[in-house]
Amino acid sequence: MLRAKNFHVDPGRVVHETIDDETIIIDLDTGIYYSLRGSAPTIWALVMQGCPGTQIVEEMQRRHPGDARKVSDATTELIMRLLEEGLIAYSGRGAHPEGVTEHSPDPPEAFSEPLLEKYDDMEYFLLLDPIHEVEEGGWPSARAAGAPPATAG
Amino acid sequence: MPAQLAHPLRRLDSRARRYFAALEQAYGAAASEADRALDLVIADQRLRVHFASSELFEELAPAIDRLQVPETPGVLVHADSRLHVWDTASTGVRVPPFPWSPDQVGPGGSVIGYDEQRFRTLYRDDGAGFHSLAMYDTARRVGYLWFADHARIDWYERAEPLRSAIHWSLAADRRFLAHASAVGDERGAVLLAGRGGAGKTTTTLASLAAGLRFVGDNYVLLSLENQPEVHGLYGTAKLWPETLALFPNLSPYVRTFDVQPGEKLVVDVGRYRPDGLASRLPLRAVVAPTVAGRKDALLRRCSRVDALLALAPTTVLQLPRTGRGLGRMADLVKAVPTYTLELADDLSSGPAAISELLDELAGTS
Repeated sequence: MLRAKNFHVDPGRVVHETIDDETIIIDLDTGIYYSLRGSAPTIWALVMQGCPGTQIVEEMQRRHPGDARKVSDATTELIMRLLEEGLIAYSGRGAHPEGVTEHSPDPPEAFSEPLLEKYDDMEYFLLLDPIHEVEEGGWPSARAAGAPPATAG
Repeated sequence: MPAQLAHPLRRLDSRARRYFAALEQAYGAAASEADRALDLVIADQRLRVHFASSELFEELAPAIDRLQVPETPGVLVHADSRLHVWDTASTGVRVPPFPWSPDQVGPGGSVIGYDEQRFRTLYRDDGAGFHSLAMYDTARRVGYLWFADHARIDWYERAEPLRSAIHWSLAADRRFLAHASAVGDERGAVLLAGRGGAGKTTTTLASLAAGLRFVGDNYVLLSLENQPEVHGLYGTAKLWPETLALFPNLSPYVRTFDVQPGEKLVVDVGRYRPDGLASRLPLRAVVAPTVAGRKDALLRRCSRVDALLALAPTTVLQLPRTGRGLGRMADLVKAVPTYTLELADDLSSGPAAISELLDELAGTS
């Protein structure tokens, strides 16, 4: 169930770019990257615009009249997925005062499923996170060449 | 900026400034006996790198000396950016104690609170003796790099040294480092993009053997200031030991065969083919190779998104955060045509396909 709140995207963690109706998102903290296709880039654009979840669903239903339930379920599922992946979080602020400003197609288009593809083949870049040891001499302590690493202190 | 936010940010900035000043003093002490400088020119930018000891110079300079421009005695040339590098083992000068705690070191080594706004700070400790710090002042375009011990610099850093600092020094609105290879000639160059194992290095070295010129393997500088251009940085290529069998001519140019499991062999391309290096070429296409085991290599047009997926994740995740790097890479794939290259078992067919592509694109540009 979506809340009537908008979302926050941490620009220090999440970078994204839309090109040719597809959106690429990279999570700089996890190394996981994503591709959004179908109607997912539109939903992402509405998130970035500051629209709350409930308003995004209404907007998608307005743009794609027909099976309102299908549009609502699919839009909600994508937003929940974005939340689960940590790409977006509920903002502390209320609804966006200006509403939707993103251009909607005229005439309305057939709804295409929002697709999110996840790639975790780059995770290994960020998995090497050494344990930083603070030694008796403070941090850091430059060990003499050939000296064994200090044990945790 | 709201007043209630400005004060904490100013405090962070002043802490970073104080620590940077401490690094400046430490380098001064380290370089009191000797200071060897290398002037490098990359994409019309002059980068002066100072080494506080000859031991450190000998470890790191060979990979970047292809970019060196000779000094003119008696003529002082302004440097656009300066880096100062020292290690404790050869100078006896320790790095000033860090004002941040270990839990402020984030993924990739970015130091929270010291890697934003004016300063960039990266800390690395592989837990096996390689210990380094890089800090750069983007306003003054000056950086300090410290290593615990020149003899324990890891193989990756030796092959492609000072990567982050070079990235900070050279990155501009329309200029950025990319994790990619590039080959070409007077017709222009192609950028070979893809994650590790895609066949970039194999294709690059096969292209060099076939007569194309080597711009770079693994990291190159891209500029979109006028027409897209690719610039070389390092004169090395990295190969898995088992892949060297495909290029037996390269054996005499391998720096050392004494490598640990998980380490690649580093080939000095500049010594192998001194006339085979190209420092700067117009960029004609982005090509994403894939190992396909075909009879003949096959070049196909691919979507700009597929090219961006080949180029962007490894670049963005390996290089310090730029914030706008992804947008620039998107601009690149919009500016030049994009292809996949399905590689063949016959190594010569990939370069042949690249050469045909350069013929075609040079004729239409």
